[in-house]
Amino acid sequence: VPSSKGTNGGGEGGQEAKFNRVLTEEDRRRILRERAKLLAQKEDQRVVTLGESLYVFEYILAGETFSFDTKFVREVLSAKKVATVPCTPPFISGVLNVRGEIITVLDTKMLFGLQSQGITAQSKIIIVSNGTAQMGFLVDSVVGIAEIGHHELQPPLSTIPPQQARYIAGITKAPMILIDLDALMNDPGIVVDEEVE
Amino acid sequence: LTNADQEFLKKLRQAFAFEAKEQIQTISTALLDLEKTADDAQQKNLVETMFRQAHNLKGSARAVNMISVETVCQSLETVFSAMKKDSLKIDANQMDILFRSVDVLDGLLSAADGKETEAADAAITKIKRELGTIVSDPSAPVEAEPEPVPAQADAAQAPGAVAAERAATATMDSIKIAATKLDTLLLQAEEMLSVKRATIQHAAESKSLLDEVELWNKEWKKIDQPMRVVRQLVDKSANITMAQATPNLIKLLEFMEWNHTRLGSLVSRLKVQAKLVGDDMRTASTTVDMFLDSTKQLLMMPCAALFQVFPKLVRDVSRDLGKDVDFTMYGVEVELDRRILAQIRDPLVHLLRNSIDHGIGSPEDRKKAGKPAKASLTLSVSQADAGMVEIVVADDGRGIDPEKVKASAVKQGLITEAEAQAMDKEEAINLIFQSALSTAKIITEISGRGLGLAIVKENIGNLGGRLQVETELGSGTVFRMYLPVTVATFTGVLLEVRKQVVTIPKARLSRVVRVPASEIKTVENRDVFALNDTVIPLVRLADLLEIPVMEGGDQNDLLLVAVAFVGDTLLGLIVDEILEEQDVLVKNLGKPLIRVRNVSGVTILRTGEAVPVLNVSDLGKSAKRNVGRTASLSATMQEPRRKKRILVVDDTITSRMLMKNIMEAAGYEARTATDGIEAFATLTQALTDEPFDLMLADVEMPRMNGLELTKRLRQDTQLADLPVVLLTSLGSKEDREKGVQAGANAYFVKSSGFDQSSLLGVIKRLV
Repeated sequence: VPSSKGTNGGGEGGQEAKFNRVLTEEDRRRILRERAKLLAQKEDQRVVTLGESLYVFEYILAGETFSFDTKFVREVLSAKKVATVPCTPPFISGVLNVRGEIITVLDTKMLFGLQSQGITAQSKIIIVSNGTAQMGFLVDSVVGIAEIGHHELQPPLSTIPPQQARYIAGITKAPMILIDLDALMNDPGIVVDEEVE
Repeated sequence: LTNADQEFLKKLRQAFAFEAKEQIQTISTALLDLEKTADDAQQKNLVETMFRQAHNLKGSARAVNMISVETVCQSLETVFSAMKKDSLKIDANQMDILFRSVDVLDGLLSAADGKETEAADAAITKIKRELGTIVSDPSAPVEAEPEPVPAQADAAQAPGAVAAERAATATMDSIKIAATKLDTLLLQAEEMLSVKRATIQHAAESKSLLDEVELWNKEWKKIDQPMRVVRQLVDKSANITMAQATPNLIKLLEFMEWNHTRLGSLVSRLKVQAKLVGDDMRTASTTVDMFLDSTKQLLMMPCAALFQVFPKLVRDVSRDLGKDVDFTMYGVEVELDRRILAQIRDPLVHLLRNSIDHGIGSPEDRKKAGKPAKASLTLSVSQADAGMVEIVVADDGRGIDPEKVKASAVKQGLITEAEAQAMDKEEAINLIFQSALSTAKIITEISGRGLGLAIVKENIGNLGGRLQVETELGSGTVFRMYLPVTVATFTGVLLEVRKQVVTIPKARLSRVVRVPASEIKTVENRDVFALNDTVIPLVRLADLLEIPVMEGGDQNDLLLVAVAFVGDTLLGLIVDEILEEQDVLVKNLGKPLIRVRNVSGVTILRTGEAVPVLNVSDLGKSAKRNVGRTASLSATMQEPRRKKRILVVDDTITSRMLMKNIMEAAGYEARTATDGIEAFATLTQALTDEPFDLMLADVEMPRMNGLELTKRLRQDTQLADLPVVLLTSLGSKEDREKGVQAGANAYFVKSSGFDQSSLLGVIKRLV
């Protein structure tokens, strides 16, 4: 299955796009059609087909393209109202109030060993959820939805340090780095739990 | 298994776990009741209940493939069946086995996703064997009657039964809702508070806009007369030059008139607007308040929901410690916010354990003291004042000996011998809440109540409640806990340090003072300053919060210090600015932030922005670690720049001196004058060598009043730009207008609620 980028705009990442606005009507129809097809198939076939391709949400960090499974994405917000929290490690950008809920924003550049300028005027926050927790990811810009085949994925480069490689599910030729978001969100290494002695 | 099947099984297990917990709780409660009652019919009922629950649980466990739970239930069912059919009597040891099997079941359910470990396997095998002995052992002492129960137990049973009945009727029109759904609802309801705050702000904004435009309109009216004269001049003029000018002047006049009409209509429209916004504000406020109130009601739960585990806990702890305790709960049907209930669980467990461990003596000791062997421990809940409940943990044990508490406090160096001598009983007993005492080994020997009691008290305090102790040596101890029924909003003070905005709970702030750098002393390598003879340690808040120093460094000559309560002591926190006070809701930080040093949570401002809330106890600890870090403060303090000069003009000596003191305390050089004429002379004279930077004048003065003085200054070529702040006791709108018209830069009303800090803020801006 050849890789095909989403046809929508939002590539500039300029506008503040809610997730559902990133998908065009056609995209949405196509996805629903494919899902319906999948559901109509027999179970054993379904597993095989699911293995073949994956919808991912692409974004840019320090000029590099990253992505993760679209199922995690809730919405994309402006980074203007992120409040810094004192006494937290550098990879914690701060917290954001999303309709009364306090969501922690991570500067994932720090986790991938990239140079970070912190929050800039162009920064966006992708709100993600894995069912148990919600977090915000600070990104430079949002690209949109793409479909990739599982066979396109290669294991992370051997030169990538292990503490970064553990978050990486694979890399495509493009190159685009696919993040294992569950691994990242459940990493005990990002938990802040400190007392003052 | 396919993904979908696994997903389904997971959901099924969750539902099972929920149901099973209830069934196990029912069995546990029935066992406790069985132990207490001697009534045959009641015993039969209880056994029947337990049998049915065990049987049902067995069935459900089989359905979700939890074989371990199923086998334990099977054994339990056999025992209950024997009790039912053969009237098998259970002795104390066998009762313990039954309780243990309930614990095993509980453990199996709590274990993650039903995975069976080896340890669990061993426990199952053991408990199965033990349960087996109950039924098969022919030597079981069939005659063993349950321990005789004092008559009061029966009486205690009665209110419980009534409550249960009431609960049963209540369930008919009740529904079960997942707690998380309620939390979401509450979040949204609380969010409505920002709508309410916004409308209040909008209403105030509309009002002030109206005031401003009205003032404009009024000023316009004043030129009606000059306008008329100009018109007459235009009309009557025969002058040629004038004739040339006439069409233009007419145009101008018409434009002016048109403008005035427009302005008039703007005023009336703004009036309508201000009224509408005001009405909206009132409607929104009431609706939001009612909505939030109803939502909070949804979160109310009877205490019983949480307290039902206590009887078993007390039983287990007393058994372990060889104490004989009769535990009764009263008023468990009283409802509390579930968030508060969740927070007081640990403190209550702590108090109950303490009472059994240290308050209540062994049965032998009690007999010696002439008390019944069985001790009484009660937990009672009752409505106190409006919105408050009282929870009392009372025992009839040994009580706390104030002399021993004092002795150990002296030993700890917490108080001196002389202080101990001077202390009355109450003060001595309250030493048990001191955190320093809690770490002491000695205190556990005499009462053990020191351990953790400080934390218990702090936790209760954080919930907006308080904890008191009453004790009588030899007759018992009573802990009284007063708690708000629901989680309260609290007032926060917004501060700024190196561009970082933070909130500090107002209740933790003693006061805000300005400290000139020259008053900072170094004691034992720490910066301190004196406030009313108290020496207070001084640190930069930004340093405690690890915020890097910005370009240009920190302000060093006149420090703004927020004095905070840290335990019983004070700590001076240097801040850049005090922004405002707001009623705020404190929310927890979310994953992956479990606990952050010096930060207790986050609050949301009316603008929707999140602001960290500081943890003052942590700040106190951080400040202790910070020794030497800001020690450079007093050493590297720059030579203060030339002080700004302020002239204070007032005819009464009291307010003249008061203002002079305030200005000097704020680091200004202040001179005084008694009226307008003297002030004008002083200002003019000073121009040659040291000119003044600002004048602070009273309005009501003899000879030349503040308004006249201001007008005079504005007409003076050299003094026209001098910033002027007028002070007055006249607070009406007209007076304010007069002040502004005279050319004052600011106008302050000397009311009883006179706000020093805002006056100083204005002056700081003007100079």
